[in-house]
Amino acid sequence: MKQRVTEKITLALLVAGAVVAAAEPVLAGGKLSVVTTIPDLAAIAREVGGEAVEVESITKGYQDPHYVQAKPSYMLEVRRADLLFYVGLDLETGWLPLLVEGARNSRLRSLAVSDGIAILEVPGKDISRAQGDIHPQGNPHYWLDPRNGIVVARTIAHELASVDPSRSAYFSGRAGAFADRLGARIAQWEEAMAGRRGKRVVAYHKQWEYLARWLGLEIAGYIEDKPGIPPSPAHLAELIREMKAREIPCVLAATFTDPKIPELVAEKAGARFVVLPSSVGALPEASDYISLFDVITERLAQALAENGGS
Amino acid sequence: MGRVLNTIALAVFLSLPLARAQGSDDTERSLRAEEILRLRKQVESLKATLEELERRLRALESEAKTRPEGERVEAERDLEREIEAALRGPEEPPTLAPEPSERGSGRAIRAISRAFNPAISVNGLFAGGYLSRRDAWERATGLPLDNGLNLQEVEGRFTADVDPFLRADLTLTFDQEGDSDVEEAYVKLMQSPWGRIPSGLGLRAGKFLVPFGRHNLWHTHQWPFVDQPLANNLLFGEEGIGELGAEASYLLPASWYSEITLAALAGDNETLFGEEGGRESGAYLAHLKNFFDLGESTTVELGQSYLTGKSSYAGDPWTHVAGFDLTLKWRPLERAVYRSFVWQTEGLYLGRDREAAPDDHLGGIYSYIAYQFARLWWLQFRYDNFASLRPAGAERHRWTTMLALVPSEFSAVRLQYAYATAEGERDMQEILLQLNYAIGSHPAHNY
Repeated sequence: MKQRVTEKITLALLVAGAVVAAAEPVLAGGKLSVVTTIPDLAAIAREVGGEAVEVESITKGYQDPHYVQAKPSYMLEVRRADLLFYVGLDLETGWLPLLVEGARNSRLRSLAVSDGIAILEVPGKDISRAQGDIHPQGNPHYWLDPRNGIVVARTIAHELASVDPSRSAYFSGRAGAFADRLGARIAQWEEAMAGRRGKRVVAYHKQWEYLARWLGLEIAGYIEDKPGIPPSPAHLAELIREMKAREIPCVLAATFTDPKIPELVAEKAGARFVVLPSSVGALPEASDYISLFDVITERLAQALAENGGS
Repeated sequence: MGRVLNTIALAVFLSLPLARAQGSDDTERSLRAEEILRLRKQVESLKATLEELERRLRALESEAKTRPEGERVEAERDLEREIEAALRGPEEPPTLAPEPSERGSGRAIRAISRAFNPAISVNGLFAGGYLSRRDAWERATGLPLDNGLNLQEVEGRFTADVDPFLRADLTLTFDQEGDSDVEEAYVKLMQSPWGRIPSGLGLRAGKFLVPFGRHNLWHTHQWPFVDQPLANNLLFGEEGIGELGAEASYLLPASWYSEITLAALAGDNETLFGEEGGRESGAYLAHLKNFFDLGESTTVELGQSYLTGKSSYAGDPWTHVAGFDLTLKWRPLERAVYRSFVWQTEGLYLGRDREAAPDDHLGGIYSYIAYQFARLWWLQFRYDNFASLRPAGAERHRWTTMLALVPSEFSAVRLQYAYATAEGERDMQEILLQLNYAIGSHPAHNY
């Protein structure tokens, strides 16, 4: 009897051991498993990592990265990963900590890829939620300036190399090639948009500052009175009046913004309403980091050229 | 690299005359020339150092590359063994000499750093109520709100890393009577001093809301309605099951999210285990949670829970509690801020091992839907009940509806109406208006 019990216990332990062993993920054919919070970082990691990495993004490009639900299924993605790249600057603060904690992946290395990027709109000391959903460390939408994409590619290459030093040259070579390709396109986009420098636009949310700075556009106002807070009618009326007075030709919003309000503002102010993809995958044609800016510059060039405004 | 250094050197040179451009007399000019010479020498020597470092780095890199893979792994193992041996070795006697910074100057370090303060958030919950038959309502539901204004609860939450190994969470609550309570105070193991925690394993200890079903895990400000479901309130008590103990959870290596949680608890819950509680035997909990994605907008969660412990009721019977929960959530990814839907159902059963005594077989269920029909607005319905199952009787039923205005993640105003029936009581109604707000560090929201 006693022996049977011992046998059973041994068997149970063996099964448990096997389960634990099976749970320890093995690098898929020597590939590093990378997970990113937004698809833009995934797109860049794919460019840099090439054949040596397996990359997945937690969110889709048509999602608002501020409002992501910490679904347990996302925890599984984090659990399988060797490396996690995220935007940082509190963009993912409402959900990423739960995913990382829930994933219980003690092997995971995570890195905010904001290193080396000139962050815009870092607020002073006196910040309060009365100002809306502001980010205490500055505006996190830095991937919308393609020049920052080059910096991010280098950061990712560096991190990949520190995890897999044998492929260090491979990663830095690929990051360099990507930077060259992107750099050439940046010159083209800048040329195409050169005639629109100094033009004014109104935006729905504070997410186009990096883009505007790159292209020399001026964001003259926001539909959201305070970031993340739905606008009041009084603010909208004021904004429309101002847009008319200053002849602002264009209202920008992301694909995930309900178009009702920005469309109405554009119509009342006699401006054009432009929906821009704010991430890779937000629109089918913005399928990688380079085509994202193809779509953005094309749409902006169209909207701003036709109106001719200020 | 060389080019970068030259550029830096050039920049330093160029910036120098600019920085001191106002100087005009000759002495100053000669001083400046001297200074430039000195700086030039410094830059030269820095450049040489950098070049030397770079050369050494390259040498190291190429050495690492040329060494065969197996040799490198072997070398790493040797190193590991060496480190282990060194760590095991005889400990150095503690040095008695004071730290250099404290010695000599005689100055004590006075400044108190705030950099390590925990992240703090505070919730305030106020409810104004009208109950048609307050005493009957309390008898039937055990819910404590009064007619008029109530300070339902003020809740403070503190979170910080203790050290590289532990993270601590503390939730303190204060109520209208001025009673305070440690609702949760636990630590989670983040890293073990002896290496990696096996992947998928989570450990925590302290006092915590135990993972029995879904409702029990929520703090008061997270409740989907102003009050608890009848079964939770009458079986687990006002505060739910918050127990001292230790918990291990394991994320099973399945293709979907499947988690098993086991906990050994003190058995302090009075309503479950009586006044003396299950202290003698302890209480034991098992919870299984399975979670599936049905497409990218819809998810289903299915949970089973079981809790047992010896009670101090007559005959010292063991108390067994079993529960199931089912949650369906829908939220379109592209319009996540504007629309969503939740349907959640949970059933609880309690039984005690003794010859038929009343109130030994109790059970109840709640089911609610919540629909976010506009960015700031939610409409919700709930049905819940509670009854003695053997002998059958003492049934209570309640129907609740709610309209909630949620202007931001940090505040909500909610209006609730409920209608209830209970055996031996006339039908009852209640209207509650609740204000709920949060300040402090940004909370991460559990799914």
